[in-house]
Amino acid sequence: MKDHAKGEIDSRVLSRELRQVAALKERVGLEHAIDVIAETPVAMEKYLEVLTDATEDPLFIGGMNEETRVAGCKKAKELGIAQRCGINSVSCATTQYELDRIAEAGIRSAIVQTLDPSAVLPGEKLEMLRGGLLGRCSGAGLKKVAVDVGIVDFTSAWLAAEAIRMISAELALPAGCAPSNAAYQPLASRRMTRKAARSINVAMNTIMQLAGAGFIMYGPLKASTYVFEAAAIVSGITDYGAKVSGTRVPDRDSPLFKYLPKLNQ
Amino acid sequence: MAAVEHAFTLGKARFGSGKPVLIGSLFYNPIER
Repeated sequence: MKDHAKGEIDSRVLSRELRQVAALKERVGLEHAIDVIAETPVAMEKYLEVLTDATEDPLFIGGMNEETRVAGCKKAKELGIAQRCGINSVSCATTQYELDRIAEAGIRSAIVQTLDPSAVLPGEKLEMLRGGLLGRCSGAGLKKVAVDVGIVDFTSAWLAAEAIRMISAELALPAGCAPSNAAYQPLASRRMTRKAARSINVAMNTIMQLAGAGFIMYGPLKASTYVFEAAAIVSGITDYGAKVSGTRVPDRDSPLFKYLPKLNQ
Repeated sequence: MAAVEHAFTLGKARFGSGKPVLIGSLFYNPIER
C-alpha cells in the first residue's frame, strides 16, 4: 500500500500476490475469496476498480465504516460485479440505511458477524441469529449468508469451534471465523516471533476446519503462501474421512484428489 | 428460520460444500505478517 486514505496501491505487489493465490488454488483445490478492506469511500472505489479486472475471485466489501461500505455497494453495481460481491459484515449494529443500500446495489451475499458482548456462548449466537439477525438479512435480499462466529483471543477459539459446530448443525449455514486475529496479537505486542505466529495461525485454522468451518479468514493475502497447503492437507484428510464413513461425497476438486496425490508422485 | 440458502455460490467460490473457502484480506495489514 502506498496510501490507505487515497487508496493508492503498489500494483506490482498486488499482481504478484494475486498470481500466487491463483496458482495455489489450482495446485491444491481450495477456493478463495478476497476481503477488500478500505478506510475511506475513495479508497474502496479505487480498490474495486482495480480488482474487477485483476481477479475472478469473489469480493467481500469490508469497509471500516458504513460510509465506505455503502460507497463499495454503489461502485460494485456501477462496475457490474454485484453478483460476485458480498458484504463483510452485517451485524446487529448494521443500520437499515445500509441494508437498503445493499439491496439497491443488488448484492445478495453477506458474512453475518455474531461477535457481540450479549452473545458470547454458542447458544447465545444461535439465538441472536434466529432472533432477528437472519430475518434482517433476508429482508434486505441477502439470501447467501455465511456466519462469522468471532474470535478475540486464544481461549475463545474453543467457543468459536463449538459455535461453528452448533450453527452448522442447527441452521445448516456455512460458519467460520478469523483465527488470524488472535494468532497475530502476540506478534503485534512483540511477545512472539513471526514464525511462531504463523505456525499458530495454521494450528488455529486447523481447529476450525476440524469443527467444520465453511470459511476461514486467514489474514492478508500474502499469508496464502503458508496457509493454503496446510489447509488443503487438513481438507484432504477430512474429505477422506467423509468418503470412508459415507457422510459426504467429496467433490472432484477436493484436495483429496487434486493435491494429496501430487505429494506421493 | 429465515429464507437463506444453506449452501451457495458467490462468483466462483462454493460455500457450504464441505471444504472451507479461504478468505484473504487486501489493503489492510496492521501487522507485517
